[in-house]
Amino acid sequence: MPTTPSAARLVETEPPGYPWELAVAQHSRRVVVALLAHGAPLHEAEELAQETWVRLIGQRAQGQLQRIELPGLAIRQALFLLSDARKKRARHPTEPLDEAHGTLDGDLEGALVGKQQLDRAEKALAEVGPRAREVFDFVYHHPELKHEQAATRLGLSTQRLRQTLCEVRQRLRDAMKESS
Amino acid sequence: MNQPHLITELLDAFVSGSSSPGEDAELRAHVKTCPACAARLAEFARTEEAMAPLARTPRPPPRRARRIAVGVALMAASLALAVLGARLPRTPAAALQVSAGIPAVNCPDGPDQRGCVASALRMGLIVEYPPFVGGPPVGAAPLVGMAPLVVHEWQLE
Repeated sequence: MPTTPSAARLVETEPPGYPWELAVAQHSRRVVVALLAHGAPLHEAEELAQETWVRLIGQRAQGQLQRIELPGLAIRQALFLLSDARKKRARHPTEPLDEAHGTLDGDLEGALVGKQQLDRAEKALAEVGPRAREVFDFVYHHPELKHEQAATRLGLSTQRLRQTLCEVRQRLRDAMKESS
Repeated sequence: MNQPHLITELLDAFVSGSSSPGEDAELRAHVKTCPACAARLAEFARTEEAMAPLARTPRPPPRRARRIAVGVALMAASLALAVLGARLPRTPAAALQVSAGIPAVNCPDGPDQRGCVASALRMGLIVEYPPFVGGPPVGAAPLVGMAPLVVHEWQLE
């Protein structure tokens, strides 16, 4: 089996001009979460995320990427790889399919959260307290900030910020569950 | 199964990217052998995916507070520009923005990008582009402590 260079190795060999190391560190989890949300098991999601960065760095090195908008570009590339992997497995079904990890029929839309669920989540979000809403909006509006940095900007302790986010997310999950 | 299931806080921390390497390892090992937690992780991930767009339009602060925020931020931005001006590429894309009351700069792709980013971070500014280089160093006090506010299209030239 041919080995592909790791994203870390490519980062080291990439000429100066684009800080891939920072990009990978900041957005890798977001890419993994997108893949998980589309039904990939964790080990596959992490492998595909790694492959995504390898491809993007390679494409950039070849001058194929003029504008890089992250994490959107990486997520699109990762979902393409997931779709491709599913098609290949459907053609050569050598591995048993795990129902807990979703179907492998390539129907990505089926894994997306429905509009009804989003409406419920939006309503639930409108009902949270103003400070909790401020924290939630700030953190999601500034994904480049670590929780410690976001907490400093908002004048909160990191623990308090995480607790607030956890409570808001739980409310949204509950709202989305009710509608499903 | 004797093994206890993963707690909500750990799943939440993982999908939000705030878990520690040790917690990540614990979660990876657990979901390999626990379909229930793997399914729960997927559910958390789907919710996380749905949440991001919900939060991308922060509420503007009240009108008066907004005027004050813009005024203070623009004054700070002017000051920052005077210092940064020499380092920023003089292109229309080098826009100065105000985000959460903190001046932010765009550093377009090009040979000056790293210098632009380094200068901006030293000044305690948010770098909006490239989008992953982060904000001011930890501990830097925000210029205006109020709800997020974004003023776009305020170009340098």
